[in-house]
Amino acid sequence: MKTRILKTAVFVLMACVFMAMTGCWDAHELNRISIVAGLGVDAAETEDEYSVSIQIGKSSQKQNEGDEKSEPFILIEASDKTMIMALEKLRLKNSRKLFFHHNQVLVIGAAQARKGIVPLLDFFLRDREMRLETWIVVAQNTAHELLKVDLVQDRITAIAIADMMERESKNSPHLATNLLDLVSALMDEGSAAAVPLMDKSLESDKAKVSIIGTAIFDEGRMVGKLNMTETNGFVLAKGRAKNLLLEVGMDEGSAVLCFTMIDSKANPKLSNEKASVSLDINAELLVIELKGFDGISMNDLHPQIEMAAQDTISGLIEDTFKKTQQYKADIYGFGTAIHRKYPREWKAIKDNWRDLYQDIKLEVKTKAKVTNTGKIADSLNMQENKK
Amino acid sequence: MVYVFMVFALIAFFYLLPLLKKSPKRDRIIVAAIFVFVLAVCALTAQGVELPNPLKTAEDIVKAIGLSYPPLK
Amino acid sequence: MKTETGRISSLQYMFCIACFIQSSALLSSFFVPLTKQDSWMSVLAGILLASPLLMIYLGLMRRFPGKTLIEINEAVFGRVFGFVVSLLYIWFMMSLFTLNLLDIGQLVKKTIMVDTPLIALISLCILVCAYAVYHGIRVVARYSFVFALLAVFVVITSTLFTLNFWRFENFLPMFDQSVMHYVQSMHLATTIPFGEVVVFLMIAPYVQRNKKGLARYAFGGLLIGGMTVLGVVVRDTAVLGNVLSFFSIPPFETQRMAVLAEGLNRLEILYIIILIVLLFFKVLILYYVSVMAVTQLFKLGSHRLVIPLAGALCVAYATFIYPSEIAHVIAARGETAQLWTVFQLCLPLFTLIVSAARKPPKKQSKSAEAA
Repeated sequence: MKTRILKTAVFVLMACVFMAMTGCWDAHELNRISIVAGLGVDAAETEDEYSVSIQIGKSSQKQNEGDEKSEPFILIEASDKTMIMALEKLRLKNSRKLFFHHNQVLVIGAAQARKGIVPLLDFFLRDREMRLETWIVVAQNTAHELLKVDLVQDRITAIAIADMMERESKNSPHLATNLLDLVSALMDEGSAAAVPLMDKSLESDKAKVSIIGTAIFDEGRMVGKLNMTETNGFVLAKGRAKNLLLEVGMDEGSAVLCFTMIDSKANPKLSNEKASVSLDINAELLVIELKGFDGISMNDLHPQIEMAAQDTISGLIEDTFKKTQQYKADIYGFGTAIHRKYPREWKAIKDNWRDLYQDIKLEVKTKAKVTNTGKIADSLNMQENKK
Repeated sequence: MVYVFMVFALIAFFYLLPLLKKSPKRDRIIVAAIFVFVLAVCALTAQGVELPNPLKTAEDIVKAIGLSYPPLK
Repeated sequence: MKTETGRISSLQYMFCIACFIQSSALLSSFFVPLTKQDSWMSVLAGILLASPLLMIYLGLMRRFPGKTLIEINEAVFGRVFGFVVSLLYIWFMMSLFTLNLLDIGQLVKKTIMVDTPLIALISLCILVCAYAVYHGIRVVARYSFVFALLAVFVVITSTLFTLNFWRFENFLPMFDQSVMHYVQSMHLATTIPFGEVVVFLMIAPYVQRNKKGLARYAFGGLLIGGMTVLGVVVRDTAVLGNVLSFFSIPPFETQRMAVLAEGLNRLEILYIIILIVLLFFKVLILYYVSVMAVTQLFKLGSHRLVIPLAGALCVAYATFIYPSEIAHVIAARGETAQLWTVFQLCLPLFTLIVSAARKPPKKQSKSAEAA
């Protein structure tokens, strides 16, 4: 009897102690947190400071109470010397605890990108709430401006940007960059990173965010930009792309083709510290739209289109490559390929890689196959004017 | 931390008491000695006193002999 | 008054060993920064180098059936020297117990419960383990099969879900690091995940032997555990590439990227749960082994007397064993492997040799008596 009372007393005591001790520290209630959807970093007016903007999704309850014209998100900004100090300032401006687990996108302003991004990335890699699949985007002007855009179709800009990146990455993994890809490229000696470039645009009074090209980062700083055509050239050289459009111009007309598959193999060669790369491209395309070609039948046109496609693809890739050579930025990962193939020689040349990259000879061998012409073979004007 | 430790000490004491009553005398002395030792260690740790660390001593011996691996660059 | 009267089956023994090794899958951060993309070679070497170690332990088990490590020491070295050797082993087991307790506390604290004080997490773990140890080996080993299978299941599924991130070029170039790094990494990979199975010498007498003997079960456990760790390291290398050595818990980062379908991401919580479960099992085994060792050393009537004492001591020790996590990692890479090798290779081998040397005199005296 005595032991039973003792046992019950001990049990009750333990239960009290533990109910008081556990779970209280780390409790996160949904109505006490602000879910951060997007994070933007700009160069502040003060030298050496970051201007950090965070976009918080408003919970639906609040939206019903507020007036209809208010934005569906909250965008707050603070500046300080380090990321975490800026976020501390933001914490003081916000009634709820900031919750970064659902952060979709990190937008970096162009000015900050030119200054350098490696110091600000430290916080993102160290903090346990940040995820490696966060999309990275460079804004043409400032990140704050890009995140401030009030879109018609989507409530929160950051989520719209993340959805765009998600969609682009399905077409090609090289069209969108997440934190893992960025860190991997920055950690690689000699490699440069390619990050999508976005800008806001006005179309008939409605603001939109659009992808306008690619920003090239070398040694953590933005060194150059590629426009959309050059971006396509980059993606085609890396391979693993689909649903990209290719405009092929010929004497008698023009054709728009769509990639269903593209495969690229880079074979680097190193001799006497001179590097050359031979790129084998294997592509399969569909004919989406034809313009012109009066009086020619598809049977004759088919091989001509394939030849023209091969030339266009090779030309695109070579043009983009020359531009990256101007920037001395190896976004293709040729340096890593040489490291893998010639590990011993790489140790000698890796410090000069950027200069060697300028002198690389690129040889592109393209094989294009037009597999399908859609529901019809000859277009209307081709049929009408058949000789 | 001190209060938690005191609660645990009480629980351990009342748990050991009936068990010790059934044990032979030799066991009681050994267990009581270990109990006092553990109580002392826990009390000192709860207070934040620096206690000698046997693992650190062993590691220092390994370093002194020169068998330790060089640190990662 | 209860000493250990329970018995477990050989299969349970095998899964205990497997679970024990699998929990070390997250300790890869000790040797991964040394060999980077070649870390899978270290794990493979670890499995191979652990096999002779296992044979030494099986040799001891065969020579002294029904005796635990402490009893073997007394039988081989006599009462005084055997006491000293056993005391050293107890220090080894308690240090392992404390370090793994620290591991589970830090894992939970770093990943999910950031604000909860470490001691609250550790104390909860100890209390649950204490309950299991109180009831003996049957309760301790009961869930080994389920945990081991769960671990294999989680590794396979997480591999499948991250398959789209795999890049086989991440394994190149091979043999890019210095030779010393490979030696160090293989040494660490052998001692930390695999060599610690020396503690199973304390459990061997409680296994129901069948005609097949214990060897195939011990090696079976080593293989299951080893393959799991290898699978984790291979998957992490393939997914993370050169970023692998950057993070302190690489499998966690890989798991975070696993996406099943549009809405079924953030699956890392499943992985954390199974990791906590496996580490808990390792802590449980080490707690049981430490308690039994102390009980047998001092020849106490019941192991239940020692349970709160060992638990409290190690919880307190865990708070000051290393001043910080960085000191823990530095010490693990620099000195720990050498220290553990003494207990995993040197002492057991010495014991085996001495026991082999001592047996002939006994035979001689018997034949002298007969003659």
